[in-house]
Amino acid sequence: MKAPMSKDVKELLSNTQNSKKLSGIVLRANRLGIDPVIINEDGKKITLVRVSPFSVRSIKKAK
Amino acid sequence: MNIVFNAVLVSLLLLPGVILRLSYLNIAHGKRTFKTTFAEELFISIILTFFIQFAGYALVRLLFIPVHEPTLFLLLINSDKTLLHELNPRSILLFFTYSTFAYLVSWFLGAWIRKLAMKKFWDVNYPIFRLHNDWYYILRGIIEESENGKKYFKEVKNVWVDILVENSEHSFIYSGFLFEFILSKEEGLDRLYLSGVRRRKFEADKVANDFAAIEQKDLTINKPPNVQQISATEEPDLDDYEDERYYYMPGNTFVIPYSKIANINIFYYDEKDSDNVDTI
Repeated sequence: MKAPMSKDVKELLSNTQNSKKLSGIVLRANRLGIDPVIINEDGKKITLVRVSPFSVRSIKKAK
Repeated sequence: MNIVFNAVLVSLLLLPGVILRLSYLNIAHGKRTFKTTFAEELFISIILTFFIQFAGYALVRLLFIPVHEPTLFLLLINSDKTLLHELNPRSILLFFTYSTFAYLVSWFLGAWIRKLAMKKFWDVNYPIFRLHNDWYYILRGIIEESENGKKYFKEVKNVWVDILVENSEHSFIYSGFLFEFILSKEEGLDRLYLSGVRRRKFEADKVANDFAAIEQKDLTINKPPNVQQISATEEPDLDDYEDERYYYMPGNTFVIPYSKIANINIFYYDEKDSDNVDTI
């Protein structure tokens, strides 16, 4: 099943160099606890607003 | 009376409930991905059949089509007295016409109820309306609870996952955007497809904490980081933000089997236009 993925992120991931940058941005932002900002193919600035972190460690253990 | 005939008749009468249930669970990409017993499915189908047949009977009577209940009853209990009743071609044709109509209605009703259940979040709130296993709801978005205590499914724009994979020598964390997942009936989840994946050793965690502390120290509390600091195209070059602990996986698609996964940390992202925003 398809997981949700926005058009802008999909486009950036389709290019290897952009994909590498994008994952670097998100990793760094996650580490700093801030929302990552990306610039899409049209040059528009978009913030990926973190909705809520969620760990499912306990779900697997409970199975 | 032949007992096979009796079994066929009972099956034909029970079929609308089974068809409705099958139609309800006939989702995209999908077989049923949650566990139920045969007894549970049979019970649900019998209950559904009862309602459908009752409504069908009421409709037939409303249309003044004759129904000879004693004959049907005798056929159901496999009684020899049935021979005394007349089973003419017309009554048999009427029965099959009614049955075909009931099957078609059941199929479309199942599909319609599924759409309604997803729209009204019945599949999240009531086990009998469940469509997928828990992983579907975890990986597609977030389930939240409204003020009146009802759960609803909140769609998100992007899902980022950190996955811990253990082998005999090392544990690795794979991080990337999730774009597809395959559910399974037995394990719940079969595999995950990621894109833009980076990998690092789990042991590097401690170093990361120290690194983050140093980086946090640089960000003064009164001066939040400018968005340009982490934008994709602004200077300084993004290579400055690359973490040396990570190795970028150069492929388009990275597949992780569920059997290899120790645990998953998930970030859900919504999106907003930031053109008018200077700082976060």
